[in-house]
Parts: sequence; structure tokens; C-alpha cells
Amino acid sequence: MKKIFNLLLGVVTSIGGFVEAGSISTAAQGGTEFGFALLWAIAVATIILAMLAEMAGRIATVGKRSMAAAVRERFGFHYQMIPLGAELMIDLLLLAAEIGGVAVAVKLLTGVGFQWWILPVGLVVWLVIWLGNFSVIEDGVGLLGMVTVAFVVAAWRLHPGPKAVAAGFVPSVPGHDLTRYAFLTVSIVGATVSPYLLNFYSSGAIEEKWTEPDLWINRTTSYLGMGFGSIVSMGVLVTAAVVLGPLQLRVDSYEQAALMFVPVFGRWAVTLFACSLGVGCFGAAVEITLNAGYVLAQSFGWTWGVDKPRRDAARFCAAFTTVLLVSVVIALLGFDPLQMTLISVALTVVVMPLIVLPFLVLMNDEQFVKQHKSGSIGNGLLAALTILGALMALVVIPLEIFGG
Amino acid sequence: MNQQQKALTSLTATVTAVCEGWLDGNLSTTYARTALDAAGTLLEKERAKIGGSPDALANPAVASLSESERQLARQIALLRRALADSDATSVRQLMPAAGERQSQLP
Repeated sequence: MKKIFNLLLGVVTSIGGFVEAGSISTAAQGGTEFGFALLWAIAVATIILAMLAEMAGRIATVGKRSMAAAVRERFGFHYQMIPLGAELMIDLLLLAAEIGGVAVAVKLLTGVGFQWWILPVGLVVWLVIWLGNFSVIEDGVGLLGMVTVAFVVAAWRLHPGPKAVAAGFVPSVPGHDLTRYAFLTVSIVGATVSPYLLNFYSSGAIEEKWTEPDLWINRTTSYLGMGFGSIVSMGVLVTAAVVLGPLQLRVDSYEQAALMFVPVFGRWAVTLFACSLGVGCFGAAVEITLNAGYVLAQSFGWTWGVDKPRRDAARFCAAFTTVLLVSVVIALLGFDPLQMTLISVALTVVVMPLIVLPFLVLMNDEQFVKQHKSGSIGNGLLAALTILGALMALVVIPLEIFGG
Repeated sequence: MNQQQKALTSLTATVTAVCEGWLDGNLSTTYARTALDAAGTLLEKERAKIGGSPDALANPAVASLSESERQLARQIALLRRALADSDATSVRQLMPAAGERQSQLP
């Protein structure tokens, strides 16, 4: 019974980290500019993320190693420096964007410039990690993230045509702005398949001491949890498409995005949007900060764990604190949070092959997964994903320039 | 040019939606002013693109677009003042003008 409760909690709390600045902004832009036509991109990206998360969780559960530790052990320290550098760069930018997202959410409610909230937000993120344990962080952030279900409620109450919505799950070529469409497709994949989610997920499996009999929990949590998160992303896209699309109102700022709630929630619209954006970004900020500590500690072989006494994991604590500080400084430089989000999302796509390629080897190595190796279907999908990732990495920068 | 037209249409729609929401009592003055500020900032970026290539203004379509952007910028400034004074009448008078900008696009 306790396991089923934990499973349900795991599925529900998967929303934390999934629905954040990147997924909200790319889905909103996709909806306003192309109607329901990009729903398929969210669905495909979710399947990719769930597949990779399940594999990362399997390595952690069976091999007792996080992704970063497994890559370091299998490919060597020098190779690990490449994905580590790439992931840290993405984490720093994404963290700055998430902190900016929370700050904008507070600005929407108070009218006080978002730059004033960056430092307090950074401090609260640090305090949550410093004072909390893994369960509090994961479950607390995830349960708070339930407010983002408002996007699904809004989409439901707007009564979009079922046939039109269903047609959105079939990839199609739009009649206008093909480059922009391609850019948003790749951005949605980048926003969904964030490297930090994979290492955070596998580190979480170790923090929660999953064992081989828990593999079914891993499988269910990864697929149902990510699926749950993707429904919220789809809610963002559908709501934006129905409300903002007909007005030809594009989402170039979070202030514009907030208008999508007005026809449904009336005077509660901005408050609900700000809470959804703020909580989603805050959850992601906590998870990215923690993951930066995880990935650094695991790559260098330091003691790590948010449940460990702080003095026993001093370098881990110093690592996540430093990354958070640097991100706060980046956010304070005054970049537009939404633009920073889109740049980080594009860069995520650039580093994707570096993140995906090791899976292909690790999932076939008995040292890490024992008898739970990937079958021919899993290997085929991973190989296809590696090629797709490489192709997307090649085109994303030109697409950012011409369609971003 | 096409992208700038779309941006102007989008910003005009934003201003109209914000004003309508405020007049209906769905949007607070705090949010409405914040949203208009953000729209104004985005509009300035668009205007800077045209300003960065003065030769483009020789093109009548670009010149017309530039004029529409200038008018919207003024509209936003006036609306901000009206919102600060909680002057619903002025907002109502200014708002349809903002909506009409869309149809005046080249």
C-alpha cells in the first residue's frame, strides 16, 4: 500500500521540473502561432524523455549509479568532462531563466520590476535545499506544481474542437512560416528533454534507495509522470491557441502569456497564471540547482546527497551554492527571462547527442544494468534518437537565427 | 518586414486585450500597467530595427509601418497615464484606436 502511495505521489510530483519556463513559453508560442499543430511535438518529446528517464532510473536502481557516475566509470574522467561542461553550461543558463521566471511571476502580482526579486528568489531556492531533505524537496515542489493543472482546466473549459485537437497529434507541414515552425518544434523537444531532468531523476532513485524490485515503480513513474506533465504542457498550447491565436497575439513576453487565462478565470486569471509560472519555475530552479551539485559531485567522486549532513557533503553543498550564485548573477545582468529561456532551450538541443549517446552503451553493459539490458526495440529507438538528436543539434542554431 | 508587421499586430492586440480586461474588471491596474510597459519595451525593440536602417524608410510600406509603430507607442504612453489615473473613460476612448491600428497596417 505504501509503495502504491509512493508511486502515485511520484507520478503526481513528476510535474515539478517538467512544467517550467521552457515548456510554458515554447508551448504558448507554438499554440499562438500554429494552433494545435505542434501537439505532436510535445507528445514525441514526452515519449523521448520518459524513455530516457526510465533508462536512467534503471541504471540507478540496478547499477546503483547516477547517470553522471555511470558515464564517468564507463567512459573515463576525461570523456565525462565533455557532458559535464555542456550540462553545467545549460544548467547555469536554464537556472538563470527559471529564477527570472519566478521573478517575473512576482512582478505580475506586485508590479515591482523583476530584477528586484532575483536575489530573494535565489536565496529562497538555496534555503529550501539547505534546510530540506529529498522527500520534502521533490514532493513539496511537485505538489505545489499541481497549480499548473490550471492550464488543463482552462483548456478543458474552452471546449476546443476534439477533431482539431486530434489532428494536432499528426505531424503536418504548415502553410506559413515553415522555419519558425521547425524552430518551435526543435525548441519544444529541447524544453522537454532537459539533461538535468535525467540526472536528477537517477540521483533521486539513489537518494530514495530504489532496489531491483522497484523497477516497476521506475517504469510507471517515468512514463505516467512524464505523461502527466506533458498533459499540462498540452494544456498551455491548447489554451494559447484558442485564446491568443485568433487575436494574432504572439507570446513574446510572460505578460502577454498571462492573458490566455482571462476568458476562463476572469479576475483570477493573472493570479493563477503568475502562481503557475512562479511555482513551475521555482520547482525547476530547485531541481536544477540540486542537479548541478549532483552532477559535479558525481563527476569528481565527491560525497553527495541532500539527505546527508551538510558537513559530510561539504563539496557537494559548495558546488550547488556556487552554481546558484553564478546563475543569480547571470539573471541580474538584466536579460529578458523569456529570451534567455529560448536560448537555453536551443543550447539544450545542441548538447543532446552528448547526453543520449552514452545511454546506448550503458544500457547494454551488464555491469550497470545486469540482466535488465535494453532489447532490440530499445536499442533501435536509442540509435534513432541519437541520430535525430545529432540532426537537431546541427539545425537548431540556424533555425534560432532565421526562425527564433 | 513581414515579421515586423506581425509583431505590430501582436502588440496592438496585446494593448487592446489588456485594456478590455481592465475595463471589464478582470485585470488589475498593477498588471495592466506592467503589461503595457512590457508591450512598450517590445515595441521599442521593433522600432529600433527600422531606426537601424534609415534607408529602409524610403520604402512607403516601411515608412507606413514605422508611423504605425510610432502611433502605438504614443497610444501606450497615453494609456499608461489613463490607467494611473484610473480614468476608464480615457482608456475606453484610446483603446479602440489601438484596435484600429491593426487594420491600418500596410
